[in-house]
Amino acid sequence: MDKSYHVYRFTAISIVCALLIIAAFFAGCTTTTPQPTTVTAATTVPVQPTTTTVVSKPAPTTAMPLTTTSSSVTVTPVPTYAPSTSTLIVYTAASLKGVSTKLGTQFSAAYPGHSAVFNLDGTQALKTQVENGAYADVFISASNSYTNTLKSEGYFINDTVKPLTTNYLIVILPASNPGKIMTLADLAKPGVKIAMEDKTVPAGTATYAVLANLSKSTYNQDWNKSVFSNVVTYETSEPGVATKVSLGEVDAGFVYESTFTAAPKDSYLALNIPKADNYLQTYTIGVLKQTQNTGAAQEFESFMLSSVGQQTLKDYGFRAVS
Amino acid sequence: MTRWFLRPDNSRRTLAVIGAAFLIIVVTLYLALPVAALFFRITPDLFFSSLSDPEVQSALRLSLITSIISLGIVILVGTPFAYFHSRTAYPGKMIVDTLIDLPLVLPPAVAGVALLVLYGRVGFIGRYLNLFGITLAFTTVAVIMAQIFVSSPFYLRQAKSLFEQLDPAYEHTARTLGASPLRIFATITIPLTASGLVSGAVMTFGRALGEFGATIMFAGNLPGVTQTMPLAVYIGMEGNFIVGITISILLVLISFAIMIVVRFLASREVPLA
Amino acid sequence: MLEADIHKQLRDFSLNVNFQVKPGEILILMGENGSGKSTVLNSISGLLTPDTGSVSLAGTLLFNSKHAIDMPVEDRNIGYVLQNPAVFPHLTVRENIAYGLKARHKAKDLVDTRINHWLMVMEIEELAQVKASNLSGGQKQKVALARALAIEPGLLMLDEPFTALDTESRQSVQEAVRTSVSDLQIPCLVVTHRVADANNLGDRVYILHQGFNRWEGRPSDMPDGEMQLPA
Repeated sequence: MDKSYHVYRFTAISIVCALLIIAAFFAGCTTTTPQPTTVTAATTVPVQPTTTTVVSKPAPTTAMPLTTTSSSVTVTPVPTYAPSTSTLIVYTAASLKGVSTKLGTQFSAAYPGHSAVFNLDGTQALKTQVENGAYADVFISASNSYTNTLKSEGYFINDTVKPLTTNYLIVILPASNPGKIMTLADLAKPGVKIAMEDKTVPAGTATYAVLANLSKSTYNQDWNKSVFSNVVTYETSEPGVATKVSLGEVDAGFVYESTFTAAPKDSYLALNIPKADNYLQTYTIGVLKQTQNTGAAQEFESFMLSSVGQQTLKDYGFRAVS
Repeated sequence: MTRWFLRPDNSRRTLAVIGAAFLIIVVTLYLALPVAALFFRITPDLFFSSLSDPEVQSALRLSLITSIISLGIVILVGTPFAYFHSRTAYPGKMIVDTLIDLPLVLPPAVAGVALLVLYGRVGFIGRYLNLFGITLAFTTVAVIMAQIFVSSPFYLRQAKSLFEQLDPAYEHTARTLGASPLRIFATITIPLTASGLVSGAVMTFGRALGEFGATIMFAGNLPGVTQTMPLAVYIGMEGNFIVGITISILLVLISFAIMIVVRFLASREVPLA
Repeated sequence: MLEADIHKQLRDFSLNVNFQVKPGEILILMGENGSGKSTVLNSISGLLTPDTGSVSLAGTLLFNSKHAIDMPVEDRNIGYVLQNPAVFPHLTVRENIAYGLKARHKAKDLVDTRINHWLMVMEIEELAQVKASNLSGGQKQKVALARALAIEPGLLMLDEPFTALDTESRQSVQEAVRTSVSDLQIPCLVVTHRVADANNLGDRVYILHQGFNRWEGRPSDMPDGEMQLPA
């Protein structure tokens, strides 16, 4: 048997394998760094009656993401889109889950040739991804403080950052009301199971604020303590709370009004929170500096701020920016 | 170890050696560098000071306690089960055999959803338990249930294989010498399979400790009750990332310890035949 | 006295044997592979159950299909050395020999006495504290034999005990078997394919072929044609 021939083949195969592994490794790296393609001019903008055209800034010649000083480990998996000049990647707060599909369709209808794809997750998760080099064109945040952090870290084109919409909190209950909850006071009843978002999630911070307000104005500290001891899970996104409530696994959950309004009729019961104690969450939209599609990104933002976009948001339970 | 590198053909030999070394280096670096990066991301001071963070401590305590309990249950129930399963031919044995492997290929999140649908408050079984005031979802018990579900195959497959390979002559001889089946199990069967069983147990422990998908789905996330270390890493990386890195490092250290124990046990000779 | 009447349907043929072994007598079971020799031993020990038949030892019924008697293996008090001698590798020689006695909860003094006796008979005193996994083939065979005899069984059965032994060990093991069987005055059944062993050890030979008795008689009378029985 000619063993030396087999050794030769083995070597060739192993080198090919090693090269493939290295190629795959670098391919994985390059999808998070945009390819240095030349930015094409935006396609003809169809006439929009009430849109104020945003002054387009000249596109940067090299659109490398801002290198962060740290090389943190990304926790939530970064979607591996290859950025093109027409599909926008919009990082979106999870609470826009229901409305984003409609908005995407309307955007493509208004701007033929453009399309947007939404990456929905807790704003805190999306922020971490961007800080670790994830590519996105537009960022819709549910939290002013996260927006400000990203602005100060230099991820946004700062003068594109604008308030998009607002949302109040509401308490939802499963349709069968297993916990027999009639008022906010009942949330403190022993044995009641409550779901809320983790404090790192914008809806979670809002919930903490609402509870603090309520205990100061109407109920007392004991009520506050009892409510917190009734919490059985701190979810990592706002839709996660809604799911737990719709499954009937908890008796109540703190979510945005829009989630309740947009849900099919009779999915949930709801307890209103008095406006004075409620927390008005302001969502912001902004174009990221790293974008390869500045023109299209700004068109998307214009669309979202336009009467069409704003009406759709209103239809799904969001409130206008005051 | 083959002696192909002693072949007389020099140029091909060199090529082969270079190729092999290259391959080894690439694979090693791909696995080792991310883990090493964890350690360099945080200073030793920050690491040790965040060890006293209550979040870190409660996650560590909860993880260790639940994993140990899960392991205990898997061993206590799984060992006799694996023994009977391997020694007898019963109707439906092949189906059970396949089911043992199921949690290995099932995505953990799916396992979590399945547990929730069955044992949740409105679940098929859970609704009856609820009548008696028994709740499983969102409790520490749920954490243990999820851990057992995903980690038991590691022990069961190992135990089953060990018992199958154990020469029946030992047990037969012991019987003829007058030993009762229980005595045989304790004095012959277990000692002869012990080190293999322990390595299966250690792998089970490691899997239970690292369980995330099923836990977050079925048990939820509540510090001190259901927030195990993997969940704390996930939450930490979105808020307090020092905590996230610290717990990640702790998990890496525990994983290394587990691997060392398993390798040590596997290297010992087990006389099976 | 061992009285065995065993009928069992095997894969290719049916096993039908009927023989007796007197106390102190050694019966050699011979036959080609697959003729049912090990099945006979397993049936007598209780590890297998015959379809019909009867097995009795010193007047006690161990098995009887007509009267639905089937004594459990661990109660039959039969010393059985299997083809794989199966000395327990994690125990020392002493602990191996003691195993059956400990299983019967015998007093410590009695256990020690018996062990010492059999260590002496088998000439393996110096191995007493050695872990059984470290023994040679011949030494393992002796330990297995001592272990089986230590319980003072009513019957001794050996399945191919000499196959893995060199000439010297074979002779000493055969000597030990002869002495023990004679001292204890128990019947003894030995399965072997080696004609020389039959001649050296056996009082009678029982040749098995395809499940039935081809020939039975004294070793010296064994028909020539059968000398070439394949292993």
